[in-house]
Amino acid sequence: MHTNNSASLEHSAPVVATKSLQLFAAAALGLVILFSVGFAPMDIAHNAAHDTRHSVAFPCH
Amino acid sequence: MYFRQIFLISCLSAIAASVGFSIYQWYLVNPIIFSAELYEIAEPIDSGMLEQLEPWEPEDGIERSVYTLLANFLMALAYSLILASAMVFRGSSSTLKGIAWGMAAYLSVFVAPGLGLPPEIPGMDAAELAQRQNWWLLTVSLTVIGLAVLAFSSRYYKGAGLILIILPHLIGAPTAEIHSFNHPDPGTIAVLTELWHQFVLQTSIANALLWFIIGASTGFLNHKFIDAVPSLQSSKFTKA
Repeated sequence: MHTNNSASLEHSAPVVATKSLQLFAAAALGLVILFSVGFAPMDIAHNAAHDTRHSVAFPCH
Repeated sequence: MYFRQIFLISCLSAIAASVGFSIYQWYLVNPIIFSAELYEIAEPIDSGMLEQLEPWEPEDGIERSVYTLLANFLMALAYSLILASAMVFRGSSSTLKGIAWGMAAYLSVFVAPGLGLPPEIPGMDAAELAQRQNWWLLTVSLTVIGLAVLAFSSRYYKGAGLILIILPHLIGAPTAEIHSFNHPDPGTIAVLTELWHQFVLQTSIANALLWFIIGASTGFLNHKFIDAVPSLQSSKFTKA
C-alpha cells in the first residue's frame, strides 16, 4: 500500500506542474504559426499567404 | 496529455473554421481582391529601374487557391491553439463559453485593430509596413489584456482594462499622408473606393464567421476531450 501511495503522489505532482507548461507550449506554437503566416516578411511567405493576409486584415504590402 | 489534446482539438476546429471561412472568402471576398488587382496591375510601373527578379508567387487559378486554403487552415490552427490553451488555462469549457471567447477574440484581433487600420484592398496607399505591424501588435496585445482584465479581475481594476483598450486609439494608428488610392483617374478611384467599402463589410462578416466557428467548436471539443476525460483531471482527485 505504501509504495502505491508514493507512486500516485509522484505521478500527481508532475501532472500539475506540466499542465501550465503544456498549455504554454500549445499557445506558443500557435503564435509561431500565426507569425509565419501573417507577418513573415519574406516575399515567398507573403505571396503564398497573400489573400489570407488581406482577408483577415493583417497589415500587408 | 494536455498538449496532444489541445493540438488535436485545434486541428479539428481549424478544419471546420477554415472550410467555412474559405467558402465565404471564395464567393464574397476574393472577387473584390481580384478586381482591385486588375487596377493595380493596370497602373503604370515606375521602371526607370532595371527589371528585377520577380520573387516566386503562386500562379493565378488553382495554385493560388490551394495556397490560400492552406494559409487559411494554418491561420485558423494558430488561432485555435491560442484560444483552446487560454480556455483550458481559465477552467472548464462549453460551446457557449467558446462562442463568448471567440467573440472576444474577434473584437481583439479584427475589430480593435480595424478601427485604426481598416482592412485594405491591394493598391491602397498606406503608412510604412513596419509601423502598421507594430501598431497592430500593440493594439491586439493591449485589447487582449484589457478584455481579460474586464472579464476576470475584481471590480476595482476594471477601469484599468478599459484604459488599456482605449490607449492604442489615443496613440493613433500610423496613417499615410494621403490615405487613398494612387491612381490618376478619378473614375477609377470611385470604383476602387466602392470596392474597398464592400471589402470592409465582407471581411468583417467573414472574420466574425471564422471566430464564431473557432470559438464554438473549440469550446465544444475542449469540454468533450479535456473536461470530460478523467485521466486528465486525475491531479485533482489525487490531491483530495
